[in-house]
Amino acid sequence: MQPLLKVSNLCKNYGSTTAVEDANFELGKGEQLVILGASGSGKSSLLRCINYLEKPSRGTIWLDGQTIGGHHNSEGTWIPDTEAELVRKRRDIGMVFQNFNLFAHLSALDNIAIGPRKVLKCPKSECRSLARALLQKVHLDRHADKYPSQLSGGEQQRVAIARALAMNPKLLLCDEPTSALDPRLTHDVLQVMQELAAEGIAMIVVTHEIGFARKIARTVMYLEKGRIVETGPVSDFFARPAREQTRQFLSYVM
Amino acid sequence: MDFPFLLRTLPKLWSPLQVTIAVSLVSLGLGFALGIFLGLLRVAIADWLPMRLAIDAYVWLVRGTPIIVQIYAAFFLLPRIGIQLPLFWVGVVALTFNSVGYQIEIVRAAVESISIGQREAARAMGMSEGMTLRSILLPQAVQRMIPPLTNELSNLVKASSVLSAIALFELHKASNAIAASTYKYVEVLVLQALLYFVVIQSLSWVARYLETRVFAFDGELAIEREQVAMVRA
Repeated sequence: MQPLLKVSNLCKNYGSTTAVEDANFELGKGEQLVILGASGSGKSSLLRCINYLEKPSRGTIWLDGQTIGGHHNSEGTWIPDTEAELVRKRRDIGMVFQNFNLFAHLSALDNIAIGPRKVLKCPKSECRSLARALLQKVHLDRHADKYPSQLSGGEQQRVAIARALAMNPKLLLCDEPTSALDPRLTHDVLQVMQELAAEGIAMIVVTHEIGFARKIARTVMYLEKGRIVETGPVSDFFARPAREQTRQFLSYVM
Repeated sequence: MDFPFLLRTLPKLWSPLQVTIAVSLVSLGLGFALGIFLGLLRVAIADWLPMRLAIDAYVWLVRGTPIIVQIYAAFFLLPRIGIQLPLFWVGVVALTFNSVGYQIEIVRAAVESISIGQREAARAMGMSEGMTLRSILLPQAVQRMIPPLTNELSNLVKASSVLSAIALFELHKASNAIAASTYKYVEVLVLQALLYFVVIQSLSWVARYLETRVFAFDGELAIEREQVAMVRA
């Protein structure tokens, strides 16, 4: 079966600094992948290259058979996407940020409704009822009219998850979704994400929450200095890390 | 201090005061329309050097020349290119020309001060640059523009006094005329200072209201608003 996401030979340099070096991996439909690694190991850069928030220096990304950021023409030359094509392709990839990045001037409900409304041009009433349903899904239906500044971090992050889901993405990217939250709020967010995983929403999650990684992910990938140095099924990875460095990292976080 | 004189003179300054307020507000409004257009253009085309330089050069020209030179320029140059306007509108042209230069920078600074995360979140959900600017950045930037726009308005009200140089009968010109005919220089000085002060302060309060009540959505302001709602309930 064709994978949902295929990343091949992905590289990202910032000037002479290499953030991601030759990343290759696949993700099946309905699968969850957790990316682990120390700070500065390139996890976020890798994630942000997938939806072209950062333009990869090299490499190809396929989502559902379609290349992101451009395509090869019949002669095999790489034709970069126009801005409009890229914008169109990004709709299929939802993103959840470490700092939530909710739109400060919109209520929780409107934060969720604005994507379907403006980007997908859905009728207003439809957008609002979709937003209500999603708020319910993340257990925040009572907070529909509150502004981000009136919500706790955990509530903001759950609204952000609902906002990403409102676009009905094929893939959800989560960049350290709980690292700005205390344990109690982290629990609430992880619970929502676990429910989504159970529903079969494909996710790539950068996290330091090992317990959570164990619960949701089938596959774990470990990054070091921009390279994927270890990857494997979740059970094997935690029970028998292949490398000494990985073992050491896990001893810090577990 | 001749207080009865102050009271007698006050009504005579009523209509010049209206000219001062009108010329300032019209210039602020036109300046805002042009400033927001050019300011957003400046943000949107930051990569396109010729356009960027053109807008920046305009800002430098305004900032680098005194207002009185700009006013004389409008007064003498407009007729040269065949544009005959009533004095009031010559004043509006001069002050608008000046204000746009500052307002471009106000708009640019406000939009660029919105955190990069807001832009990234919009981009990540598939919004185009233009839609991000219109739907996400601009609505948030408007609130941040209000305090510097209030400054700009107070500058304009005061700068409008320089329009006396081209004989527009605004507050300063009218005051000078009264002082010259009555020799009550100190009284007239106090009176016009007071009037300028009252106008600027009132407009500042309106702006403060707009900032905290009408365009408020973040931080303490939103919480404050919620508390007010709770007290009422």
